[in-house]
Amino acid sequence: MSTVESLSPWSKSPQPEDALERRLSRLFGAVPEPEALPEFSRQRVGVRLRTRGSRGGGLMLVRLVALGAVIGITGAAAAQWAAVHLFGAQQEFATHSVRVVRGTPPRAPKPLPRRGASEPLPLVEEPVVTPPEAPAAVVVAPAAPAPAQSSRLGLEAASLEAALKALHGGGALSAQRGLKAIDQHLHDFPGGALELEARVARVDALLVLGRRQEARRELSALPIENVGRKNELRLIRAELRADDDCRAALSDFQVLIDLPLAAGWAERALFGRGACLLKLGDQAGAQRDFDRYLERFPNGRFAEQIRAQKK
Amino acid sequence: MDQLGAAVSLEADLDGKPVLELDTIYREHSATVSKWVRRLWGPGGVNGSVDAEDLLQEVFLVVQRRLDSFRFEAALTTWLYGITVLVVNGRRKKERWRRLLWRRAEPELQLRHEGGAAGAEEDFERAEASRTVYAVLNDLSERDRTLMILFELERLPGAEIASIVGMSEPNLWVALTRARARFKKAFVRRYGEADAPEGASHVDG
Repeated sequence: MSTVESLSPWSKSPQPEDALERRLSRLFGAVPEPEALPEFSRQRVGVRLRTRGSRGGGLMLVRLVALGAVIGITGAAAAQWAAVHLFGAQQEFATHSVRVVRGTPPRAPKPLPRRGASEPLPLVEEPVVTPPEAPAAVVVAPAAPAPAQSSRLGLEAASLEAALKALHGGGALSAQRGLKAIDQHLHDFPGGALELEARVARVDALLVLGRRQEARRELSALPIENVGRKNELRLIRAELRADDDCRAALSDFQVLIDLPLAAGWAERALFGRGACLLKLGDQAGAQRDFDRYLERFPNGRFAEQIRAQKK
Repeated sequence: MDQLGAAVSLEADLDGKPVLELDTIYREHSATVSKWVRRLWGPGGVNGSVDAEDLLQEVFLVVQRRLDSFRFEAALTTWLYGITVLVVNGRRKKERWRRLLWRRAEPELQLRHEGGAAGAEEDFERAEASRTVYAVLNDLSERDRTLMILFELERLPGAEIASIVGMSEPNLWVALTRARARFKKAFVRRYGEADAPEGASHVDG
């Protein structure tokens, strides 16, 4: 067993003797790391999951209520029929959701009470039962399942998804359209369950449009700790703050540098802190960060800039 | 791999176990899970009828259903990986049937790369390597394929792979040795013994 347990991946084997394994080692070593789905896609799936969860619960409730109503009505009708035919008596049965009245015209459904905008729509209307001449048959107003977008959350999710689609069409025009749709969404669903997602998308749109100050204001008001993209948003916030408030930016950069970030973000955070230290007059601190940057990212996107600065 | 991390609320339920919430797990792990989905599916995955978003959603729907049964015996990430493997393999099986029924070729392999410092040529080589490896992996059984991906590409430790695929560790090493042997055989069958340039062209389906 010991020889088997000493297996190590081909790509990590130091110079295998077997030619085929050498070839496989090179091959496996060259397979790239997969990329995560873009934030936009993950956001969309998150919205779908939330909507589906609530819709699923709603549907289950509808099904249970409908099943209960059918059982109740059937039972009441059978009892009525038995009472008439077996005992010759006329009875009136009433339950909280079912009313069976013999020889009376059908009852009109009660008008629905007025509801506020935020109140959910009714899941099932009260069924109306009109037994005809004996044997009593039962007519039940069908309890239609709630349509997919009947809940407020469903509507909100659909609205946000449409706004995100508009935003991610690519280019400034899409960003403009997306921003308009997001603003409309925020206006239509104030304090909605997806407000945070919408506001994050708003930041994206503002950044694409180059409206940095507004993006910064929006970001500063966001509780970024509660957002899935918190590290990315913190980095963006730091870079925006670095425009004119390096002290505030430094604390964000510091948090990021202490985290095990993906290379692209780590690079930006390190460079950002160095640049801010330089702006604040801490030459030695900036130098340390820039040296560290060049050591870690010799071909990084800011490497040339740093080398030019050092000259 | 990180352990439970921030996906566990600080509050505890009556049993003294941490409370897991889907929202938090999704926020913390959806990016990683989407990478696993792509890794397990391979480069031909996210086109045509199979969409990485759909798979990600499917994974988290299963997570939602099974959240109550998570016993904290394994790391959350291992548990999530296990679910991802089940979902992706299940979808692969469905797609195989669909292809068989409709005689459809496997979608053309495509990989999106960020423009690296070394440029397009390196990207091309890496895409070719990926194409070559997955072409051979797709010749293997589902179990061999999964083991090879987890060990050779994800480079996970044996104990974690054993936990993901529900196998004892000694059995895992034996299964892995056999899977590697079968991979070599399939590789030679496709590309020959000679040290031909990696990524020799092939047609799937």
